[in-house]
Amino acid sequence: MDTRRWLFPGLALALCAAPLAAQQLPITTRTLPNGLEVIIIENHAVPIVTVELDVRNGAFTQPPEYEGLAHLYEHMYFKANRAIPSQERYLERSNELGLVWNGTTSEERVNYFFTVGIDSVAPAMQFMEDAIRYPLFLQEELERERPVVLGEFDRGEASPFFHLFRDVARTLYTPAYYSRKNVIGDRTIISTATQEKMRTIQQRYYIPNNTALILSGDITPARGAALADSIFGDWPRGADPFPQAPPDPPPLARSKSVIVEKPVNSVTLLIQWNGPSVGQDPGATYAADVFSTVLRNPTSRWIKRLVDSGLAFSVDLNYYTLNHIGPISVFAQTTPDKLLALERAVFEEIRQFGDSTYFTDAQLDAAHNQIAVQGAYEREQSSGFAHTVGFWWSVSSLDYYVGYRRNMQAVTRSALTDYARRYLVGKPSVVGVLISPEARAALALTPEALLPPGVVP
Amino acid sequence: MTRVLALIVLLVAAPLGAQQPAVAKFTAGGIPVILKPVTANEVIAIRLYVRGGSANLTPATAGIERLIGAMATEGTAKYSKDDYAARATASGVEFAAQAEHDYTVFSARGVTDHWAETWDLFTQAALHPTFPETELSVVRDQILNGLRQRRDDADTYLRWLADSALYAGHPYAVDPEGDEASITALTRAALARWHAQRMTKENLLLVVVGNVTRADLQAKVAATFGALPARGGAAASTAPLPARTPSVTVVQRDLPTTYVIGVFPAAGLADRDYPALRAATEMLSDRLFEEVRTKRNLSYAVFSGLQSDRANSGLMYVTAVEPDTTVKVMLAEVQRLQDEPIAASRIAQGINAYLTQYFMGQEANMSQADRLGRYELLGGGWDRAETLINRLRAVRPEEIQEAARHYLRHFTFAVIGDSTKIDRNLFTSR
Repeated sequence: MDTRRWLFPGLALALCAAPLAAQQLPITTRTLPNGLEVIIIENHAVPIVTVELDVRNGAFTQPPEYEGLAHLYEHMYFKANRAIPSQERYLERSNELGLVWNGTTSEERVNYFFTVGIDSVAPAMQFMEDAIRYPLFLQEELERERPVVLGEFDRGEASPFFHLFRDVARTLYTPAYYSRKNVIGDRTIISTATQEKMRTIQQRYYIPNNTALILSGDITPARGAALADSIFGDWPRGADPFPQAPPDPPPLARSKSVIVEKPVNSVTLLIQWNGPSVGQDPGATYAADVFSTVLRNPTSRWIKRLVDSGLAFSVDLNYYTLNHIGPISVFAQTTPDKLLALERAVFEEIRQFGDSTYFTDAQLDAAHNQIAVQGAYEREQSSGFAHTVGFWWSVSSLDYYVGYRRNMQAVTRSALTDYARRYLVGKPSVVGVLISPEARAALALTPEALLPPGVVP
Repeated sequence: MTRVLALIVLLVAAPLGAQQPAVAKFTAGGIPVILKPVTANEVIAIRLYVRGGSANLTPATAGIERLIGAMATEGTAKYSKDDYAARATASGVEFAAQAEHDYTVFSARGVTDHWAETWDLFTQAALHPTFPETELSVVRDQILNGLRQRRDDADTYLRWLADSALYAGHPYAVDPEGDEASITALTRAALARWHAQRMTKENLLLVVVGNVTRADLQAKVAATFGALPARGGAAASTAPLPARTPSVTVVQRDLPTTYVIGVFPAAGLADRDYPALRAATEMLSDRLFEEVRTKRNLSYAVFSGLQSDRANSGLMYVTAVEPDTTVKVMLAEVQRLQDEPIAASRIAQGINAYLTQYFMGQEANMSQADRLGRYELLGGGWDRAETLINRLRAVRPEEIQEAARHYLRHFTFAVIGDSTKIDRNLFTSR
């Protein structure tokens, strides 16, 4: 049994100030013999505890015939199990315990979280253990949940941005790979999901050696560990869910563009690149986050050129950390008449990212300080902090998160330049535009016109 | 599995346990101050409320305080826009402003190691903005873009449609967010004049939650707020919403699902009926989730709740492919709440969940400051936020029924989607 304990030094890293006791947030971990990683975040500010289960599941595990089923499975977690015969009884039990509960599915993580008063922690954990180990996947409940999931799908499709993001992602990752990035999934696959497929997901991924149990809030490490042992200790270890690593997206051979027409009152520009994978190039993932922080500084050249000039209402460059190629995205909004000028300016700025003088030392120092303070904001809410820690555990490891802010503080200007050269400057991208049919017609806008400079259609 | 609660402002309060620090209210620099010292974390939350909101606005000035808030960090008496941004970034200070129906609030979040900078940057932005003309042009365009986009998002547009009908003829009809005409016409001089008129001691309330001493805060407030005028630009009062006749506004749009909201005038935080109505809408929300989503699988997103305005309102919300069928079930649940008493044990269970939500709200200092400020201005005093859970516990089943009968009727519905699926008689039947 592996037990470790960290103290986050809070702001001291960045500010060289003596850390106050209140700035330190103790995290204790232990790995049970069955492989379940137990993460206890002690915070006694208010008398509640968030119990969270994070499973390394999600879109990345989905071949085309499972497209959307990681998410459907997440819904089925809240259905009948060995101890709870129906979702109606599930809701009753939830009320009895005063639970505030939810679950989410993303590309590389599925999580379930229940927040309760301190007197209900043990029954809440038992409730979750029954749900994760002994789901019944009743055919009737499966059939009844499909329209609910499709209702969630409908709400996504009602947003014009859904179509922009989907079309750009499908182009970036290729249609053949897209099922492994498509969280909401495919309507046909969802509508025809079977109990057998649910069982396959359960047996392959819902095992202790692919799961983290997080207890965050008013609980001591000793009590949390004892509860974890007694409630989850006999959950049998499963076979390695990833004897072979799931495939990464194929590289993008050349830049492409897509236009999405919807009745919208603004023009949205979305450009995406294949960014780093945390398992293959962790250094670049730290640099990527610092890079975005520096660009967001209102004094940055990026903001001056693109927003203060009036070219865009807003612009952001973001990296989404994943283990199987996280995308780098530029998201900007403007008016139709400024669209092409904005796009040209974005690519001109990106070309300059490779110049080591693009950022100043003062801007980098400010970003380091800002990142340190953001850590304090992140830790303030123990319920939300459980989700944060769980996300990083899923896409990488707790070690990655523990070192996250320290490693970001160590990022230098040359690391920023290296990151930009490796992933952005001159690299193939997908340019997407969301625009009204009328505005597109007025501009006579073609996909070819959106290709980055130097790309021959 | 997300349980959609996007439109509900969750405001649950409970008695503070013995471990909770004491809240103090005092006057400093001539303005009322509420301080809650919190040592559990290093975050400091500041909220400055300017009373008034929609009641102080006209169609021509709609959105002026929103524009003032957006311009607050674009240049101040001490700092240029770039100086301000550089200092805020280096210290991690986050400034925000929000114009609401009953007040505008300027807020800042910082950490104890940067408390002095946090206070300096906050007071510069809230009290001493200079509204540079060049920045005004950029910010104005950003706000106009946001206003135009309200129609692009079904939820935002739905809410706007419902509010427009519910607030017709009431001061809240003047949108504190403004509209394209008012935002376009507002000048730098108008912003400066308005700011000077409204930023007076009689209009202000300051709330601070964090590891701050009373003596330190008193000194800072006296030094920065003391020179403000005592009176002027007084906040107008807001009457309750008038009774409405049932109505439905339908907007045809080619969407994969239909968006529906039904709103109704409701008891406010300070009203005697509030706990019973709060329990009724929470109970209704649970039953809608169970009947509409869990048993009948008609929707992914269904709930009910209460807002927290002075002229308060409540809502029922759903997105569904078969809106008529779904709304029939929802209205039947309303009827059941009015007709059938709820078991006391079920009310007690509901209180447990409220208590958990309350403590989740206590985790963040900014949400604590929000709750204290809101109750001080709208709820009969900050301390009543601490006693709501006891008032909820005292609610009897027959009071929930009575509140449901009195308030959950005469719905003002708004619908976006396939208009051919809407039976208007159904929507206006209650």
